[in-house]
Amino acid sequence: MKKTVIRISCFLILLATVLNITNHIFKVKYGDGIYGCTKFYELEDNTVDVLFLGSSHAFEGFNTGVLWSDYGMATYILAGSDQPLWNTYYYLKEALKTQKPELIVLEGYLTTYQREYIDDSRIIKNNFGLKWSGDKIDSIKISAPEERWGEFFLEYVQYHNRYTELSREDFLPDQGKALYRDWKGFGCNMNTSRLENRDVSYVTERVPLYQKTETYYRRIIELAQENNIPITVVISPYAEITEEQQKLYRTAEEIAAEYGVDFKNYNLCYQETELDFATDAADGGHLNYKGSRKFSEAVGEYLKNKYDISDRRGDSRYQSWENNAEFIKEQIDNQILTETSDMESFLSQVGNGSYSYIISIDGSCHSGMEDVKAIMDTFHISGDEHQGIWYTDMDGVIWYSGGAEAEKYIKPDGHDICMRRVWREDTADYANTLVVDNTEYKKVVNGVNITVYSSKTQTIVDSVGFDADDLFCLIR
Amino acid sequence: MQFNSTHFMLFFPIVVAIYFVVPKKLRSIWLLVASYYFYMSWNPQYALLIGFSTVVTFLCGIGIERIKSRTEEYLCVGRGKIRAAYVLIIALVVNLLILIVFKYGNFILELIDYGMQIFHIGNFNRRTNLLLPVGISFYTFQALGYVIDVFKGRIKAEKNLIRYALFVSFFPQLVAGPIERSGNLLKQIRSVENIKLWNARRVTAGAILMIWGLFMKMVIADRISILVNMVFDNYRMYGSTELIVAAVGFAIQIYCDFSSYSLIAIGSAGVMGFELMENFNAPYFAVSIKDFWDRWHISLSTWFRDYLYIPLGGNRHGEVRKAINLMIVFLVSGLWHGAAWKYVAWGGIHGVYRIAEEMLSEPYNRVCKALKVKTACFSYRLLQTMVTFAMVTFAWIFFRADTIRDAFRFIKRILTKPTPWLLFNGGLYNLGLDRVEMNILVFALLLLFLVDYVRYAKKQTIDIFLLEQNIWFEWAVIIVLILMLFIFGEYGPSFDPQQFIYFQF
Repeated sequence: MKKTVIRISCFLILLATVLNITNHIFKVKYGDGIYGCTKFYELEDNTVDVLFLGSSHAFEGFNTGVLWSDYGMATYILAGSDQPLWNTYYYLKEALKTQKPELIVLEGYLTTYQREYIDDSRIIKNNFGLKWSGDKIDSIKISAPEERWGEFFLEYVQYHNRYTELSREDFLPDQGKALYRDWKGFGCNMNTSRLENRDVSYVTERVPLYQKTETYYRRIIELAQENNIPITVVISPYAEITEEQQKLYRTAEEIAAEYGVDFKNYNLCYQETELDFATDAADGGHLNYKGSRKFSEAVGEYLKNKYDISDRRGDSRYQSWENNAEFIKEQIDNQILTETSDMESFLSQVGNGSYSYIISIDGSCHSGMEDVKAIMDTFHISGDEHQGIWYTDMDGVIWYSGGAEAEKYIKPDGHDICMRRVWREDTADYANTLVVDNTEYKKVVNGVNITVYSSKTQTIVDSVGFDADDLFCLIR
Repeated sequence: MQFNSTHFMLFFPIVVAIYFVVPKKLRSIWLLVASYYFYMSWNPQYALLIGFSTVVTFLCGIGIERIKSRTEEYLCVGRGKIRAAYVLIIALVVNLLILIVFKYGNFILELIDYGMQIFHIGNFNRRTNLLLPVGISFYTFQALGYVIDVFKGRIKAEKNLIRYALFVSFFPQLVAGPIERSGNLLKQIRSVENIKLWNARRVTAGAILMIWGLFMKMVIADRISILVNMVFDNYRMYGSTELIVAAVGFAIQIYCDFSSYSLIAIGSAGVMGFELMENFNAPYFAVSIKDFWDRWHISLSTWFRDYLYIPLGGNRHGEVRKAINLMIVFLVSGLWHGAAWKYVAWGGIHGVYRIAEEMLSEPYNRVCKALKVKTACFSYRLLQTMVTFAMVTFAWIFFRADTIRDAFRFIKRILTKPTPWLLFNGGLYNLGLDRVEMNILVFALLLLFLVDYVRYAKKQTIDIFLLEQNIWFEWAVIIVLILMLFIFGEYGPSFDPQQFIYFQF
């Protein structure tokens, strides 16, 4: 009997281990809802000073890097895509189990939500990240109709058939992305849509909030006040605000006033933020990297003046926020680099990040040519070598081959990079090749090819060619 | 409550846990309560019907035995035998009437309507809207088998209604078999108090069968059904290759679907200490149609043999009578599967196969002998297996098609619309299963082949085979099967769950 019990126990432990590993690989890891929770749970207790809650308007609007580097605020955005306020309420309950922030900022876009339940993918994104507890059960119960609770309680059922979409990210810690190492919830949107600013300040009418939405809006405020934590409601600016939404915001403002809570609608403060949706909008609902910077500067100023929030810069406990800010800055520098369209702007921007470069002079082009010389001077490469392939950073050349055949393999941050210079019989000339993770990077046959790698974001940032046959215009 | 539902995944452990700890005398009551709960989870009203059938056959069994107990009158005068036969007839009529009304009611009304139209008597456009109770064909046959056994003196009538009701409604095999015999299951229920529950080997064997059954259902049957349904539902859009693939696919689907139910039934009963009869024995390894029916749905085949074929005279009255009896049995078997002509046609095709096999076997053997064909070698057996599989698959087309006319059109397109290039250009990946899904299916079919080959060659079921291996192999296989179930099983919100096909019968 004893032997049987041991045998069965060993089998069950083994089975549970295998299933647990499988579950970790298969579970969904969306950044817009689930992974925000994962990283939140990794935070040291009581380190978050400003907790942002809300929907995508929150995690694409509040730039945690700017709030840190400009104001020293240790912020975290615990938000989810299209997150209804009932889920926000349970996110807040969950957050308060480990954190005691100095301020809670509720991004109030979802006060305009007018339905009983949201779509399945949003139910998943706004519930599956939470750890199992009575609050999570309540959150699922309020998120879905009763007859469908089973589908969301048995999470594995929802994602077991992801086997067709499994990728490297599913097997590595932090999904193998530098982004998530010190992530604080900000999703930097790099798109730009040319839109116009809308003025809705003339709308003074009020319409009632949807009952369920209002109930949880009030509960969020009450929960913060019960915990003696100041709370403020902020509406992020977005291009496609409607009159109907503004009427709802007016009601939300009135409800906030009932509780003595500050309410700030940035759709009415374009002068303060200097936002221009011709350049600052990612789409009709969200700010892009430029817009979020302007908005976050304004919000930071507002919060600093209105509330007593600690400045944590220089505190070694908060190194993670420093790293996060540097990462976001690099992300934006990367984006700006990729938006350059000529040699001059490219060369002026290319020195900004933590970059290394692989440069090759190909075809009949050589460093004696004026434009080529200008390029090589930017990278501090002397003009002695007329052709070849260089691996360099701003401190100097790391590897170079310009004569005989040669090849160099490097493995920065898990990537496989191969630089090669080989003799080709068909052209009776040397050819330079660069292959990164099985993808060849070469933009021009006759000219200068430059590939930029960022050690901070651990990505190929840009790959351009300057075409000697076309006045060294930039080819991307 | 299907075996592959979360409802059953909760229900079964709870039932087993309580069954293991309740006092011995309460075991049968507990299992009866669980069985009725299981059955009523489809529709509570169904319980009235099974309850009525149970009470009628229970009383008839007791009635027959009482008449028989007056030994002198029964044996010498013969009147008692006639009275017992009357009681048997009451049981048969009541149960078959239930079956006819609920299962064949609309089929009969359609026939009447059709007949009236032929003779220009007018229209009789009426249909019943009675719901077909799940598993009605299974439990009525099981109950009838019991009454006949009592009449034949093969078993003593059960005096305890609870035990008898449990025999009729035992939840593992209630809705899709195996159709148990009173000589097996009722005897075990009578001694349920004596079952030694804490037997790790038996429980493990039962669990292995359940896991393998779920694998066959959720990984193979429900996956291949996507392809089968797509082609059969739109067969006019496809050519020979797709149609043949779909027909073969359906042969695999129905085997995995039905066999899986039986395996889960046998396994779950095994966990509780009951031994149910085997229902499938590597049927697609059969080398003849007779061999196929010795391996396919064994509990039904033997039921028809014992309660229909032999009473009709079997093979005791010459070749012609034997052929007629065979045809009757297969036509009734076809009708048992469903109230539609296509099932009758399917049964008829198998009847023709069997009769032809009987009639041609001698001349065929003589030809083989004359041509010196080696019949004791692998290649000959392989050919026999392939021909048998092709014949069975051909008959399945009638079973799966919507109507007999559709089946003929389906076959006509196989013959007239050749599309062999689809075997080479990847066109088969456009039938609902992409390359990944097809690879998973092929791997699962390879496992199925291995398990069936072990059953065929070593005469061992998967549970016995695994329990004889080293522990690392046993555990590895079980864990791989469970993992494949969890990952590749067809379930979840994006999946339209397929009912077990045989539930409708």
